[in-house]
Amino acid sequence: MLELENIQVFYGPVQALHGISLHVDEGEIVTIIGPNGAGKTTTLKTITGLVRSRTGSIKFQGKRIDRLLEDQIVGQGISLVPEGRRVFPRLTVLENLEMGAYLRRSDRAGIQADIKRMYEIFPRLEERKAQLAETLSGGEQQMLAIARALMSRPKLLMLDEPSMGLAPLVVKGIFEIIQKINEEGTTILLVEQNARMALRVADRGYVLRTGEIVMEASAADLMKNESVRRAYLGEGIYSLEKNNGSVAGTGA
Amino acid sequence: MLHRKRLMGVVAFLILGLCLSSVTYGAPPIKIGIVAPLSGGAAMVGDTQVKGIALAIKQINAQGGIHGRQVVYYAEDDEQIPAKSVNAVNKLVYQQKVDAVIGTVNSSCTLANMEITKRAGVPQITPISSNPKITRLGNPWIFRLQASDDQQAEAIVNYAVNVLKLKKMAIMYQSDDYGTGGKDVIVRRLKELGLEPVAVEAFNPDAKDMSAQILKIKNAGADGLFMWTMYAQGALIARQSRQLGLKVPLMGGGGLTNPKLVELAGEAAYGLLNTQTFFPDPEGASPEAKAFIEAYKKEYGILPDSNAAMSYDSMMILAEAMKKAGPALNKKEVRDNIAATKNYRGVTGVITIDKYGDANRDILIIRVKEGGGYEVVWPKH
Amino acid sequence: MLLQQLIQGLAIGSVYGLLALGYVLMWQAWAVLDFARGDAAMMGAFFLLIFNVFLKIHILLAFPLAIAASALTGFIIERLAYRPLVGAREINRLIATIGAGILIRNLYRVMFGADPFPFPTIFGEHPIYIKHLMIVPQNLWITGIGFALAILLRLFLLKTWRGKAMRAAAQDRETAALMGIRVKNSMTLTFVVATVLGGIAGMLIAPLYFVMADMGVLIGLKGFAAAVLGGIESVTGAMVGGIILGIAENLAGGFISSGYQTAIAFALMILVLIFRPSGIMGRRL
Repeated sequence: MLELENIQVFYGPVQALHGISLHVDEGEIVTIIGPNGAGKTTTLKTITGLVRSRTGSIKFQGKRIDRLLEDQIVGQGISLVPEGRRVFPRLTVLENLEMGAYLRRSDRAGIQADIKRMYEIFPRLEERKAQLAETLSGGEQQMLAIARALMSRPKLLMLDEPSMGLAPLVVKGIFEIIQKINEEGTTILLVEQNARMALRVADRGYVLRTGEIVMEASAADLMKNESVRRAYLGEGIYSLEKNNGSVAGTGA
Repeated sequence: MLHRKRLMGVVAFLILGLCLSSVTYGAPPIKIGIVAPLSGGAAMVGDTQVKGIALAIKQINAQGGIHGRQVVYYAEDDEQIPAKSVNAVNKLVYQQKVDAVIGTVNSSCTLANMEITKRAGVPQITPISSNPKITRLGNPWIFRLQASDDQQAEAIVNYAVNVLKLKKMAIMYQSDDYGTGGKDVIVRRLKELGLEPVAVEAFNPDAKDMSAQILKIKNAGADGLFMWTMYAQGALIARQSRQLGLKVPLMGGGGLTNPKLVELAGEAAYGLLNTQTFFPDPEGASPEAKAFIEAYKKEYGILPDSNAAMSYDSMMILAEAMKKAGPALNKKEVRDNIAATKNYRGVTGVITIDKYGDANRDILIIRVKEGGGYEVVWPKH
Repeated sequence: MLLQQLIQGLAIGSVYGLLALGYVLMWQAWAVLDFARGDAAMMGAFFLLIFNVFLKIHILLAFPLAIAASALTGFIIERLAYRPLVGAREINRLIATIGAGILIRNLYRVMFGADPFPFPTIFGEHPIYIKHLMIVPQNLWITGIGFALAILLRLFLLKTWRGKAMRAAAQDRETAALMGIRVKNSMTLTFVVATVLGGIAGMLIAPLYFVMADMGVLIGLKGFAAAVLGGIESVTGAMVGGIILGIAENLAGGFISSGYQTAIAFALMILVLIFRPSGIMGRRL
């Protein structure tokens, strides 16, 4: 469904992505894990057209999208829940949802139905529909951001760090919803630092480090992988002690 | 030795060259510096100032110049801002090294820039800056041709009290040196005549909305309004007074005289009275004024305003003083000759410079006629 | 007397309000204090002068023509002076707006001279009396049009897709782009709307204050004071701020001293900045 090939991105003289390639198949949940600054967010921004690759290509449903304008890319059915939620602070909850449906604004009835559906998935949003988004709690803002992204009826939903800054219980709820959305037929590309959570829901995963993909495998295999466990699943210190320093340098 | 001889030769050659050049190309021109608002709100006034001086210079040069030297002018813009005015005069005096300065319009600017000519010892004439202070600060280098605000304000107050028999007069003035100076004289003169203004209201020189002041004046029951301001603000006051139902005689100083005032205020300006020293009415004008009006019209295709006439007279009086001063054109001598001007028949009337450097002259009171145009109402012939 | 001063303040206050709306819009969409707002008013007044007085086009046709011309100039100015600075630092953009204002003003001064042009009264300037209260029809129109435009703008921002997208783009450009909003177009539209609003303010005051190249300077600053007073993020606040400023000025002139009118306006603004930096209306639209 989505195919990235040899993507290289530069911020000024600094290269952020060193020719990465990855693919997401229809119906999958794919996750990209990796440390801070590895280029995960940049990868998602490149797909949406907010930043541009110098080389390679991005194909969506067999069609090249890397030269399209941002709004045309959204129009193809790709939606991003950005890092840090980025709800429009001084728009109401309802207005935020409407903005998600901006490209299909002529479809009044459809939008009404979708808003209703969002309220069913996220009942909290209905309670707060007339409030300014900036007055919501972190978890509510994340729900709003996801709901807003769904309002464009995406075929591919991309989420950037949806668990960031949220209480564990809230995170659990969010991931349940992500799975549910997937079950209803939306393909998902998930970027997470909380690798344990991500791998638990994902079918496949990529490990990204300093702008390069260093590993690709099924989520189950990644969960079992020693270096992944050490580096990203919080078992680093334990392993280090057990192996008496022999794995120093794998970088936790 | 040889070295020195060669040097002497070079010097001799240079001196010879210099002498030759002066013989060949004539004496260097006499430089007149003009400082005037050439942009900004008073650009129109600055423009006629330059036109008046330029016409005078053209006529002087056509008659062989002064001491056989041609006269040229350098005009600097002061935008009606005192700091810029000081810069402009600095540039004229120290960079262009002018022999005399004429200007400027705005009284605050003249008060600031006349310090430069004083320090440098360069004679300066301001054609129309009318703040009384200008000639009362003991600065011997500054002269003024316009009747000072003292003279003008006294004249209009006299007319209001003695001829119109007004009793409850109000004053509106723009809050700068020009407006405040005029206001002070009006208040003083009214007091001398045993009267007290019923309202005294200030406004910013660039203010547009005068309704607060006008309403207050109306409420005070005024039977006449003096306004000490320029024509654009005068038009605003006239128009807004009419709108707000204040129907009393509007009176003011020479700053109001401008055909634009009637154009801007329309009917609201009819009947407005103000002092003036010149206005372009060829009928009943002196022969000098008539000749000037015709020459000006021929040169520029428009009628001169009083500012153009004052500026023209400034240049002519300066030229007279320079002619009397002898070819060396000593600046002190030129100054003394300006100060000694007596019964000079200028286009703006007969001018005598008094001990302060002010021109003593007759003051007219003119009235905006119904349908536009001015008529002289005082003195009656 | 008091009531009379209030009525006078209301009219000039709604003009300040219209200009303040321009500041609010520009702040919302561009995150910049746009000090060329007053010059937009000046341009609008000149357009009406050109169409109505110079070309003798009937006022009812001249108005829409002048508004269209304002919109077109807004578009051109945005392309030439504002668009290139979208990514620049805030202080640079602020300075650019001041520069744009100076350039426009001097351009007009070169083209039309520095002298004021008279402008015929459109709405009638002879007062109607209700007992002792005097109402100038012109002022009534100014107030009415000012309020109508403010309400229309508010409806536009609150109820239409374009209006909502404009606000969204103002709050978060990158995320707005993710929604498929063409952010740059939205910013252009904002600038054009702000220019037209300023232009209309200029057209409304043309018969009162004449038309000249410098007419926008003071009125622009008053608009800024009104925007700060009401809250730079609030449409309602802009109008409220304008009215308060207009009335405060008139009362100050009538009851304190006319010499301090302008000073009082800006003192009011500074007081608000100290004690309630988000303005009277705060962040409510």
